[in-house]
Amino acid sequence: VNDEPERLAALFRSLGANAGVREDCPPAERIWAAIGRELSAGERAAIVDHLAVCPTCAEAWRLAMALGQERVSAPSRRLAARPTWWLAAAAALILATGVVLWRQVQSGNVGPGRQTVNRPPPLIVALQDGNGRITIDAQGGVEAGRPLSEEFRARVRRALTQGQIDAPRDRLAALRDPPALLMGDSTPGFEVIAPVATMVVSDRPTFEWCPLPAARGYQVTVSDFDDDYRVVATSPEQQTTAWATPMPLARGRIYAWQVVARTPGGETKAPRPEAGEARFKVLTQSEADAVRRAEQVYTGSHLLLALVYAEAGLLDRADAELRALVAANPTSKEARELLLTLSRDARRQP
Amino acid sequence: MARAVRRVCPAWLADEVDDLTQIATARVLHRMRATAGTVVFKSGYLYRAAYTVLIDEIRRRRRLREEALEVDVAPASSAVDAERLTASRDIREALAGCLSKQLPTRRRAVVLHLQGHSFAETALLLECAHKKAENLVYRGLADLRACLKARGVTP
Repeated sequence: VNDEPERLAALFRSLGANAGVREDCPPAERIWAAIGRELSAGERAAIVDHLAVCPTCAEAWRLAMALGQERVSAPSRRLAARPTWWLAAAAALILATGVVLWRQVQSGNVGPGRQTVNRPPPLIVALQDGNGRITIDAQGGVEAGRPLSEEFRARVRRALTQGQIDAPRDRLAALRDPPALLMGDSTPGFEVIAPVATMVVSDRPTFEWCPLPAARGYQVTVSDFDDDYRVVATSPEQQTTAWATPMPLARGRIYAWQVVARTPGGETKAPRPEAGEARFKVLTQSEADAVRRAEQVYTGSHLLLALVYAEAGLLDRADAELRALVAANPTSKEARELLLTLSRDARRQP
Repeated sequence: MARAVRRVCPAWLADEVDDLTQIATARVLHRMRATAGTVVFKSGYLYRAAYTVLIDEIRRRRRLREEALEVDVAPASSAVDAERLTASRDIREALAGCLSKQLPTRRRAVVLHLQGHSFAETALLLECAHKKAENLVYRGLADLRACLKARGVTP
């Protein structure tokens, strides 16, 4: 493995410790604004140019990156109407976090290549992941080629060393209809494919099902599970095996859906009544926004996206990302174990 | 809370956390009063205030250290440190020199990459396509490697 780029990054970051402060250093406020893309492209470019010659500001930038990650993972709250002591306590906590992150920034513990300073501990897990690599060393150090919050590092560590995936199991249990024959024991044939027993991001989900050879057409019915199965959408007769609702479904609600195939011999339904209902839930707007923000941050990484999706209950998406991870790492038992965990624990067990 | 803060603080800033907290809190309160409730502040503003206070303090301390070094020229106990500082300065100058010779777009992409940004983040910050950011980083790194080698610096 060519780790020269990582050594180069480690070298670049190691220069900050003994660096001084220049006369032309931009104010801290502007560095924060630049990394938050609040400045124009030209202003941002000028600050990035400055980082090339100023290790102290480069350190400050990395601290803003790390603190920004902490902020993303923390809940957003309004400060107005809160007492002074609360502000002081919150400021102390953030500052303490900042100081710890600063120490990590100085030691090269934020960003790629940190293991290459001095003697790196041996890697116990190394996966090809989208555009880069994800590794875990013998000391538990997680390297994902991008800044990660400590909490997210811990999740990656748990996933790859213990095969654990965080998923909202209680909420997902409400989407499974006993006796739960849908997900594994059903006989092959006319069946629904997706969405089943999962959350979905879009309020106009696409429904997919297996074809029935004798079918002349299909019709999908979507009912509001929380409103006594009130029908909220019905498709026109379809010749294909997929249909997206043209009108948005209300967010934050559980729905059940069914597809009817019209054949010369009559109608056939999927799922069959004895197989249980096909239920799904549309994420609330705030949950969907959080997922979309995370997608922007972790784009290009199958593993990180899979963890984000699983935590949101988006099992189909998590499944697709993990399958891509397994395809990129066909000999990795860690990748296969994660896919099995998702299928076994998150999908089936209440 | 104070105990928790002190537990995570490095020694060189341990005495300052209370003061830094007060400064950050004062800034937030001042801003809230100045806007007289017309602006909704979120916790993100607190992060921003804490960040600026921390960076200002770090810069202040580094300036003080530089001034002390200028006054107290070459202390006898720091021969190794001085050697390390010189080596560090040489490498920094080589890196800065090599980066300054690069095309601006490549230089920015390389700097963001060395800082730890992913290609996607680099593309966002430079407002270009993901593929272009990737291309700029790879070409820029190749240039940088060749330049450093020519200057006798091996990463």
